Amino acid sequence: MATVLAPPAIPVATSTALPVTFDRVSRTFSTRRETRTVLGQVDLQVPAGQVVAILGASGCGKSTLLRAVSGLDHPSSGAVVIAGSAVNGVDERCAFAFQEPRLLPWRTVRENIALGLAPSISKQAGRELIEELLTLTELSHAADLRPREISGGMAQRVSLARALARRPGVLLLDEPFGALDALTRLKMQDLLLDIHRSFPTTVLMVTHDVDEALTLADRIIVLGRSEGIQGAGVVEDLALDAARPRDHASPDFINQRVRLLRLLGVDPTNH
Amino acid sequence: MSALETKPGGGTNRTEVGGAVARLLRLPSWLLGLLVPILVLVLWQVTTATGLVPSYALPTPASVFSAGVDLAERGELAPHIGISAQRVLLGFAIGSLLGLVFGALVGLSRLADALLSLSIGALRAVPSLAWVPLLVLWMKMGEDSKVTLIIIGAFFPVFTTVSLALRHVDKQLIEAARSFGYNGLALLRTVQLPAVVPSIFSGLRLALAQAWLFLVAAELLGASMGLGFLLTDSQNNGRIDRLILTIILLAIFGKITDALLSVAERKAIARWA
Repeated sequence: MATVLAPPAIPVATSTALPVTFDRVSRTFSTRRETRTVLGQVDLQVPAGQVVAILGASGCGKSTLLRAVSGLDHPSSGAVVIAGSAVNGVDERCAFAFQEPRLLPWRTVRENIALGLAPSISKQAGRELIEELLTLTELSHAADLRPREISGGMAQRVSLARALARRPGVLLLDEPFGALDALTRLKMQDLLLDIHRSFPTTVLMVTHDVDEALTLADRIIVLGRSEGIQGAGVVEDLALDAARPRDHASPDFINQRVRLLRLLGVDPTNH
Repeated sequence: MSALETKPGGGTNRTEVGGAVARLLRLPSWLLGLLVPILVLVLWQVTTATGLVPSYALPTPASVFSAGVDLAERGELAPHIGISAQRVLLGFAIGSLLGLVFGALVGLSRLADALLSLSIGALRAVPSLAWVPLLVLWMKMGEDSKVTLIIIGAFFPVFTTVSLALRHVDKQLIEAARSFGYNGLALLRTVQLPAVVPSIFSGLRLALAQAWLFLVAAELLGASMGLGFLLTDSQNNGRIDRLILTIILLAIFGKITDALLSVAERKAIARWA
């Protein structure tokens, strides 16, 4: 594990973490030829402020689940409920960071982060928040650069800062570090923990990386298919209560890792 | 090239040629661009002054120049140029604005695409000159018919490039902006329009070229003023010096307006791409 970055000494605007409930969420995609059920019935309660990692084989509906929370997609049946009110259309209480940074090439780093600001925030407060986020994500020196002038890791930090500018109650991360090199990924994981300390928010994070899930999450959900049921559901719900930073050599860590890899259909003796 | 192949010891020749190319490339590009026009001018001067080409077929550069001075002194040149420029700019402005609006509609809305694409495509298939008799019948010979023809000419390049470009804006960027609550006009202003700025400018440059083309078409077919009228008038009076003068003026004004637009294009691409 890379050295943990010192937590920022600056005061950061507080957001309120919100609880998320999945109430029999299912999603079916229909084409003219076939109907494909991606998500079966997903039932899940996520308390406010929890960091949840969602694991699962490719194509099992992890991203579909996140998109249902953000309102970019809607369940075929069932509902996602954030803090008592059901998600209907793009939800202002959520912010999304994608696997690709998806920055607007004609805007500077600072202007890209501003895209995430909630419409209700005042100009002055917005400016201050952006400066705080630039410091937190160590981008102050790059604030006026364009996306094509910065590295992939920096671009992904911008994407994270843009999501945080919304001060989301629920932060949705769809493999945000998946495209980064191993070293940058470790640094980003530390950054995410720092961010979670400064910005209390519920985090739902899709990842392919079992180690990443075990390092970061309070809880790991494994999505997968069970016999006799159409579409993926929750096949494992693992609570992690070890304090951070977590020792990757501890027996608990290793046992959990083996179990998760088996669940994902990987032979752990090779890895 | 053939000299290089036929001569023995072409290697040295080749390096000499390479050296000359390298020396030429060191010159500023605007100067290089002027080389060919200067060469043509020299050739023109030589062939006409020696009587190789008779003056009733091609007058000397000097007589074309003095025809221009003569027209200018009589105060006839400026009004011709002025009215043509006015028609081009007016038609270009209105046509490209309409092209932008309809291109945005068809590029963004699947309903508008389904409703309008066939009809606009069919209108586009009509050869431009086919409109002239109808426009003249409807609007008489005045300014309206000419500007309308130029509007038609300027509309299609902008319409086509903008509608196509909008359909190909990065879906992921649009989704990211949508996830932050952008939709409708805000999404158009924040993501879609900036993303197609470079395409808008290439459409505008095509539209401007079309506008000049349609201007001359309109003025050739019925006008009492303008550069196109000057062409027919000179033809009828056998004033080949004025005819060539007008062609050169059209080349110069076309190039100047295109160069102005390309400066704006470069700035826009630096800003938005």
